[in-house]
Amino acid sequence: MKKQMPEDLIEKSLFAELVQTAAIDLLPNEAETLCEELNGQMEIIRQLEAIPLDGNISPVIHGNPYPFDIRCGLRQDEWIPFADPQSIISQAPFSKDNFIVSPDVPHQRIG
Amino acid sequence: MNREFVRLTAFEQAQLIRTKQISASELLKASLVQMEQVEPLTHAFVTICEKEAKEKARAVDKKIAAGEPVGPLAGVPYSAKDLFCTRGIQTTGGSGILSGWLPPYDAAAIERMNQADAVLIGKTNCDEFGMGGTNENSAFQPCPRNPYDSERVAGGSSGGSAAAVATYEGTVSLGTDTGGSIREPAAFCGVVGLKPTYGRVSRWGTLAFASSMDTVGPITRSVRDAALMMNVLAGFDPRDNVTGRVSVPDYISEMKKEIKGLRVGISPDFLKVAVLASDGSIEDHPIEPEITAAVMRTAEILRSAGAEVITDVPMLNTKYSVPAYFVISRIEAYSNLQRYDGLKYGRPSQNHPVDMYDLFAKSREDGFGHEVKLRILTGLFMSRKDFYEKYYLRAQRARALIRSDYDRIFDPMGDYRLDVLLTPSTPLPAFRFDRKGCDPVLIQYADMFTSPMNFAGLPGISLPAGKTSDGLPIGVQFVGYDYCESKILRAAYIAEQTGTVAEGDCPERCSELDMGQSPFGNSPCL
Repeated sequence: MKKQMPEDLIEKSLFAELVQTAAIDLLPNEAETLCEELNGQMEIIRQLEAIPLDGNISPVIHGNPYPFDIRCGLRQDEWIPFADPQSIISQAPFSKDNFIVSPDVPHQRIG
Repeated sequence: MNREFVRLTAFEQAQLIRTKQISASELLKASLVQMEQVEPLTHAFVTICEKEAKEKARAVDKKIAAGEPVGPLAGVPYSAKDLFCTRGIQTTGGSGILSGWLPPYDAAAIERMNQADAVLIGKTNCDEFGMGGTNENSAFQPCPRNPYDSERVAGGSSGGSAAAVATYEGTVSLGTDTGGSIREPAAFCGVVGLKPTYGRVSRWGTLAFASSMDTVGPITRSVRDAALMMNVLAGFDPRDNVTGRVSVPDYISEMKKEIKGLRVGISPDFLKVAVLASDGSIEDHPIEPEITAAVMRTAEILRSAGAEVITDVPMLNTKYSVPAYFVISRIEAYSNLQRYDGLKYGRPSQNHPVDMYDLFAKSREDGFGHEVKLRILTGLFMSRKDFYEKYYLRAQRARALIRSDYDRIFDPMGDYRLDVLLTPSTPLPAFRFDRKGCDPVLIQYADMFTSPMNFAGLPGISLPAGKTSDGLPIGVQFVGYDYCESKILRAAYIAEQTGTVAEGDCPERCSELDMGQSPFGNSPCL
């Protein structure tokens, strides 16, 4: 197996950062396993470097092209009320007066 | 009610219902009895919606009694993968985080099936948010079993749909395909699965996995039923802005057109698994010989029917699809799954969250399965600013490279001028849950022949092409150019009609599935 490049080795501190950003409260054992598995996946990801891509190949966001004549185009930015908001609100853990009630939102000082 | 009716195709069932030879309610009753018998063995469903199905069947019967026009799927019982939103009916995506969630609206595909007067009987199990190729990654266990051998996987992620259709638990099913999730389980379960052109069928109301590749399509027991469902499903939808304003042909009449002169290609690059190493070296790995033989047999059938078969079509960039698909699908999955937070969307954690952020993190920890967490973290890692160019941009450029192979072979003025490309659907048949006796490389690369089409946005259909010496179904795949579903249906229809492809072994004709017996009745494991 090719030795991992230091730049894409996912160390515990970086992994902890990823977990926080992903907003998943992992159990310690699970975190260790996932960190190992994530590093294991780098082998597949590094295969990308073996693909011969000359400078003329531009990235594409979809496989098939969307010529102008078949494109959907952007929708009008119009507010359309949903017919039955209660069917959504009623599934939230807490609600009041047609609003979802959130647990406390801790204030964070920015900068 | 003769329970043989559940074995008919959707086309035949709808015809009998329209002509009042059977009623939608009677057919539904027979289907529910079938489900009661086989579901404890197949585990294809997460939710069975008997009450809603009975209401819909009664409504269809009422329309027919009143002489009102009915849709092309009048009274046909169908299932939908649990990734489709169904109003008031639990939709989980195979995930614990959506357990108990009742969508407030129907997905576009469900709307269209409803307008066609089909009867939804239930929601089928799938890998969590479509992430997997075996159905083992579902929060709802036991996961679906392969109808031909319950020790083997049904495939995935639409494994519940394929297993249900193969065992007559409903006549057809709606699936989704991001890297082969319709075609791979269809091949494993011996049924037909069609992945349309990206943008041919609306995905509005379908839980998203990787948005640049997600597609919606039919799983059926016959090619004609796949064409019939495409007549219902295909078309522009302003709510899914990747759907194209492209006219929809009558796929059934197109499917029956003359095959003489149709140019069918076979590529040696689709008859092996090329494993790419990070140092650029490539190791070729053979696929199951019986699968190669099935492809060759299918080619011979088409040649005999008047098609031109062109061998040695180079598809040299196919081997790059695995790492590129890996990167893009995970980055898009990470983005799509951020919406599940346990507050606005998804089941909240009961683990005493102290504040809103804690609720998000605990709900996601409780609700997501292991594979989904791994994919989220992988996608997040590769989305980082410092790796954007190295991974994401490079994968998007690789996508262009892979697509160029198809532009070249389907170019009407080019060297090959193909109408369809014939490939295996998978490099191996359904493998065992314990992986014993199965080549681990082929298991790892099980989607190698299907994911390039998601990458390139092209349509592909998998159909049964006989069985292995162990009695497991083999699938072959026809791939076409953008919006050329008619051509792949035409090739598949001819292959099916000759009977030689399936050699009388497709489930419609399979004597193993004797009425009133378990579909596993003749299986050596039970």
